[in-house]
Amino acid sequence: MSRAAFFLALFSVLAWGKKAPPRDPSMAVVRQSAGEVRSLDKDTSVAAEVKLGDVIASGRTLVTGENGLLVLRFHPDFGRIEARAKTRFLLGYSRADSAKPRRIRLDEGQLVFGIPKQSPSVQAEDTHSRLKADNARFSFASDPKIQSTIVVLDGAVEVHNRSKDITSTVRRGQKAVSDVDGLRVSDASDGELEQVGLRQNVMEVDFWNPENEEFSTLEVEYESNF
Amino acid sequence: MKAISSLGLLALLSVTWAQVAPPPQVSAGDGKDSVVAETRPDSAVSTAPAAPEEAEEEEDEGAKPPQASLAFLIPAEGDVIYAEDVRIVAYVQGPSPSAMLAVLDGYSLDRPLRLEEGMLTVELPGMRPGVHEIKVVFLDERQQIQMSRTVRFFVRVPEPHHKPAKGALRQFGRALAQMDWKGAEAKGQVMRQSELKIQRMPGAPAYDSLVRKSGQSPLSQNIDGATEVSYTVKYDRFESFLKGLLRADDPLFSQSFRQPSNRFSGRIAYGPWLTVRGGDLYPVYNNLILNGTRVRGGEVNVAAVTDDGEKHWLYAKAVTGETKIEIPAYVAEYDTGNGKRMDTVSRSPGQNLTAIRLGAGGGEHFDLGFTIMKASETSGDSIDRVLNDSLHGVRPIENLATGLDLRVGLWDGRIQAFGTWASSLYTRDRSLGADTSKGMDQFENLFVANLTTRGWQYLAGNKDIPGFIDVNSAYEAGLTTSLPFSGMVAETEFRYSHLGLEYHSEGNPFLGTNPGDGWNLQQRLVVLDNRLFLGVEVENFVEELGFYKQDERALKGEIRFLPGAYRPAFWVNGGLTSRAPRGNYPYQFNQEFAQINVGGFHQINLGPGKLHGSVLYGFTRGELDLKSNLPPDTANGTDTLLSFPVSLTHIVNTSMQYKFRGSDFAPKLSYTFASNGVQEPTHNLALGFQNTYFSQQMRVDCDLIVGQYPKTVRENDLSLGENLTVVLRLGGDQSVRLREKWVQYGDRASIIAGAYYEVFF
Repeated sequence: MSRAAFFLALFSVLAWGKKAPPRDPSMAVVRQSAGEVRSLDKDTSVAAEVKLGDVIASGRTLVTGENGLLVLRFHPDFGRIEARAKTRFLLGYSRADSAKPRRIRLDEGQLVFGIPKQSPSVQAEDTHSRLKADNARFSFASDPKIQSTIVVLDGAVEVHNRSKDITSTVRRGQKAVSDVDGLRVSDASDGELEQVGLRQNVMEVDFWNPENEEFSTLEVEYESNF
Repeated sequence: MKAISSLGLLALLSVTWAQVAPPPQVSAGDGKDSVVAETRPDSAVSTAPAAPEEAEEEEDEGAKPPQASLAFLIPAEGDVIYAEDVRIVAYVQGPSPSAMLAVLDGYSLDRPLRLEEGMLTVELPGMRPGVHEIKVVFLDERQQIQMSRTVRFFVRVPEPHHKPAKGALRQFGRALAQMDWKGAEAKGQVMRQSELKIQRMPGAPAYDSLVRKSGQSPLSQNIDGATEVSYTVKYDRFESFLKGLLRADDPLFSQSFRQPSNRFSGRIAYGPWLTVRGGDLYPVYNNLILNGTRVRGGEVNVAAVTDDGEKHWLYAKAVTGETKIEIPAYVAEYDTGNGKRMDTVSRSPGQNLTAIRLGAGGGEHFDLGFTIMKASETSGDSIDRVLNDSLHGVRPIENLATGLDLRVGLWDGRIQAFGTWASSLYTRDRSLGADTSKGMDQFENLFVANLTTRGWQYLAGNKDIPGFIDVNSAYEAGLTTSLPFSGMVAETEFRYSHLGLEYHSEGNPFLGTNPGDGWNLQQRLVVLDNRLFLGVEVENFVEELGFYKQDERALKGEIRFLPGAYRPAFWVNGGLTSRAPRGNYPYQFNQEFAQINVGGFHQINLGPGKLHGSVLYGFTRGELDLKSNLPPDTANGTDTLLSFPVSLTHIVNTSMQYKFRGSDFAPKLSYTFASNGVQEPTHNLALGFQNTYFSQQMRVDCDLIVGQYPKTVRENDLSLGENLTVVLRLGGDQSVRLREKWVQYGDRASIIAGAYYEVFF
């Protein structure tokens, strides 16, 4: 008994003495900003210009103008959200616990999500739908008066239609349209899938193929990792 | 005079070496002269002497008090920033450091660093396009480096325009045109070419004679041009591609007595399932059988795809067409620059080729293929045959080859095992001359009967011939691995190859010439975060040279150390090769060849810019030793054999480039010394600059060359020249390049001037 107590005490001392490494807090940082992009405070009365390198706090609403483009990147997991022109959304995330889901409320416009394996889940919603996704790349476009459209480039997204209370999984290469009539899943066209491509870190490489003497330009989109 | 100039160059070289030699390891700012901008957390900006020696990049987890840590939020490693004004943002945890400093592209920053609420911010306005590196250093109370972090990023302005895809239809293309004017010794040497014909003399049937037909001159000896257009249209799963390349030296325009240099090709594809191609094709069906030979004809490729186009598929492809056109015998007149020379060139026949490949698999896990190829030469008309027979023997040459190849990948393709086998079933060999063998009758009903093929002689019962498979086959098998371990990547490649005496493929122009067996082993290690590369290669090949065998062995090694920007990089590679006969022969020879190359480069801050210097030294040693096995006192003893001196060559290349901060102007200087042990050593010097104009829309590269060339074995003469290249970018889709080069060698000169235009649409 005394020996067990000794080892228990030793284990406690060792466990206490070996402090766990500090975990980086989660932060959404502006990776790219173009055109008119504004950040609205919680009371939506104060608008601030958004610039490269700004850290966006949870609970802020972000708005892009006619030619606006906003790319947010999360630290430290490299999750990304790209807001296309004429988009308005509310960003919610836990700064202290980067394992908690990130919540997005899309009022209108189009968001493109890049969720790496190490990122927490993303839960997004608009008037017609609720989405949940892990390790996926997809776009979420919302027109509150008509429908929401989800196009999945990689991974899978769980889509819930509010009006008919049905849920379906949209997989790679598929498109889902959600409106008051329900949820319809079909194959996405190449053009629709290309729209999901994130625009950062694009490198163009010219190739000359000696086999068939064809010249081609390869556009490589890459992601950095910590 | 020569000695003085050599000494001067050597003195210059030694100064260069002194300048580019790495300074003592001092500070993060590289060099004692650099002023380190240091910012305390209270935002006070001050200058300080060079930072003390950097102990460790990473934090020490010993008993020291807790230290600050830093993580870059913007940019992350490798980010592309589409703006000139860049803001560096980093998250800082732990106690605030006593002082901070930032080094951008090797220069200490003279602007404040802001650290507020754990966020470190550095504003970098007006960054130039290209790769940049910023290093943030934290110092403790004793001015010791506590921690440093580095991030590299790329500034690209203006941001490239990404055309949004609209609908399923996409189309794009490219066009280019190039024209060169070549003067003096650079111009074409062919003055006139005339066809050679056999003509029967009237009234004397027994006497034929060769006569020259009317001649043809090339379009121009000075002009060389080409233009190319390619266009791709995609609609849903359909894809079509067209390309045309016209060259001024094609038989269509000027020189009839050569293979065509124009290229045309087109492709129509429906998804991954069906592809039809036509025009000039370069099929690769089996490495040993059909490996990149040009075929002007058509190809069909059908694939049964069941997944995403990469896995689990069966496929079949077939190609047929012409690989060579027939060139009649002709007489060519050349301008040697010192008179005329006339050459008689014999007829070369045309050739057709057909190949089929059936396969299964693809991707990184499995691939199995069966290939069969037949090539045959055209016979020409009766007069051609007479002429041809008199020159070469019976035509046409026919070649039938078949083979299998298999590749299996394990562990996500990191380990690849492969094997390829090919056999030429039927070859009429050029080297065997006229097929006048008697006794062909016994094979007349066999589609591959040919007495000149040794393998079939073996099958026919002639046991003096070595084995059929060995003689008529080529095969190779091996294993390649690329294995990631903690902090290291290990790559291994082992290959065994065999080339049979009778194996021949008209579809593989890269096949070795001498038959034999051999193996090759390569081992590479990449360690220290890709900074250090170690490689070694060993090979042994036994060649069958008819009456004897020759053993060739080689050992090669390489070390590369590239520690990163502003740190000296170094590499060395070298090898030993030896050739020696096997067995006991009237005489023995040993040939040995050794080479070593040593090089390095370094970039340092110097004055208002940075200096980049590189040095390369190469050395080779070759020795051929002949020895007789006969006693020295016999008539054929050692004293009757030739002796060859050991040959030694040395080459030294140095170059320096200076780049001003905030400017693209970069003067440059390079020097080369070469000695081949036979001729007088030569020295060459190039002095020039690079710069951009009009908001980097125009780039100019100019060099002045002063050097020596060997006039005779014992005498060098002076060479002078210059080289100018101007590249003009017109918007994002067009570019024009103008180039001009003139070099004077004593009384002789070589002049080239050209223009190049390229547009994407």
